[in-house]
Amino acid sequence: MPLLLSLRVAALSALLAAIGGITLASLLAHKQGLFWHLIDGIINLPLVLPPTVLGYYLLITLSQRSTLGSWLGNLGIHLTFTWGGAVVAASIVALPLVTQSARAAIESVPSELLDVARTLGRAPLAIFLTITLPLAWRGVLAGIVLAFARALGEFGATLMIAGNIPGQTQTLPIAIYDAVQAGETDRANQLSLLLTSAAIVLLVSIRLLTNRISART
Amino acid sequence: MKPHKLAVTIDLMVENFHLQANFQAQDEIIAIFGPSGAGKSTILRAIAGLITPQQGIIRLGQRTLFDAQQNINLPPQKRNLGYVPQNYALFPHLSIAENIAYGLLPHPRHARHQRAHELLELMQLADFAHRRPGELSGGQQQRVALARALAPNPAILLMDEPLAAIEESLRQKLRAELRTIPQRFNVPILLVTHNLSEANSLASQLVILDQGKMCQAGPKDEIMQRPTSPATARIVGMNNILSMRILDTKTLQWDAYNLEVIPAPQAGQRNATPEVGIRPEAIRLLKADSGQENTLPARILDDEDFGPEHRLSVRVPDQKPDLEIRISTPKLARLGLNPGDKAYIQIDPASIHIFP
Repeated sequence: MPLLLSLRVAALSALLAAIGGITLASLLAHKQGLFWHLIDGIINLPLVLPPTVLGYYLLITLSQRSTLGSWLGNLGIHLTFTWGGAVVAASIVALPLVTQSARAAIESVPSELLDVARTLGRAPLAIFLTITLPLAWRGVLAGIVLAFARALGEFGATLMIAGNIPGQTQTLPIAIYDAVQAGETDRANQLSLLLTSAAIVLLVSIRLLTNRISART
Repeated sequence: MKPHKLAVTIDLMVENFHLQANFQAQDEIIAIFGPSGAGKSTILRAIAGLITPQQGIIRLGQRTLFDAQQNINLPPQKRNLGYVPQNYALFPHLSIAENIAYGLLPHPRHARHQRAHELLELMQLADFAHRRPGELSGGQQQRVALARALAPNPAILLMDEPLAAIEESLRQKLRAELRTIPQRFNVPILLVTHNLSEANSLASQLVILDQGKMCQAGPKDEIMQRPTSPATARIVGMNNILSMRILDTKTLQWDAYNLEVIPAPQAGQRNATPEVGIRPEAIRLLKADSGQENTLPARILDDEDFGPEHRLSVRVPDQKPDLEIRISTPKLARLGLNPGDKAYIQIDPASIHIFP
């Protein structure tokens, strides 16, 4: 069922994007200078690049013929034309969304709080967990929800790296495309409605989360 | 545990700013004072370890916190000091008790609890233990910030503009509370302020900072009455800077007038023409010449009304510069003098300060 597959792929992708995004965000927070802007730019590329370009790059890096692809293949991990590939594609497009949101949330924590925490003897990680995250969690969560929404709607890159294999890699967006191609308008309608409703629910949640942030400040 | 002696030497490069300071403090409250942009907050942050100076040494008692040459740079965590920023920076998501206990982690839970409650009692905040900082008044927040900083028993307390965020009506009460902290907690306080009255009210020693350079440091009386340079004098409100000639051991000549001065200028300085400073409070305004020493005719040029006191600008005919006088409002009312009126001024002989 494309819905279940989509949810599984989106959930795992959002999780991976969350882990990667929060880590990158804490690394990038408050950093200045051309070098860090460059790193930020690279992370944000998936936001701007056409999904087909992304998909193509993924294909050539992960295919059995590439170095990375064959190395993974030896470990028993095949990503091309499997649902794992769908996860990779969705994670990469979702990552910048988490990173941006999380970074903004982390940077919004007043630095005096962190200064005082340091003079009180707490280690940087403890400060991150006891001060920064508790104060930034809404922004971070908003980013993760957005990432989930994005992952749910991923189409172009997914199609290229994972293909259109029903039950294996046919996510909701791909199923819709497939239905339209086959002229199955009823199915296309149903699936589109499903995806749209899910998106609306997610976007409203994000709004609620970010409102609570502004209400507090 | 007696107060530690703080020896501070800083030579700090921050943006285009070269910051230098060098002072020793054993006294209870020391205030770093200077105009905005003088680098006061920067010094505090450097001592706290939040900024790393390019060169210099920071020592606290027997401990070296920072020594560029020996590659010593203790992180703030290890410097054993308390830091209270301008807006207190209380953790909004933690209760008052949790805020106070935040720096106590090395201790076992029971001890942390006990210490936090000890401080809550001492600061009269016991009823607020489980409230959040947002629910407290400005004065209460200051007490929480102090309690939090003092809980781990720091060797010194650093405060950045402690009363800047407090409304006028509360300041006096909070100043009184602050003054009691060094004795009650056995800890010296180094605070930064751009408010001279506050610096005087709180501290026993002043450090004057101007554009990154330390101009003078010492007991506040010394600085207020005997600043070492005209620039420092202006910073501390000694706004009358005059050129005089030393005639003999008790007389100075100010153009057309001879003034008596106590204490005597050094012998062997005859005919020297030093600059001289006089505080506005040291000049009395009179309606008529009472025959006392140092009485000169003057005309009132301008009157600035501060409410409880006035600042007058007066001119002694054919003399430069114009002088600034401070007089209480009731006194001025009794004299009934206004801008344009002719009057007399009397300069206190003991308040004519010759710059070294």
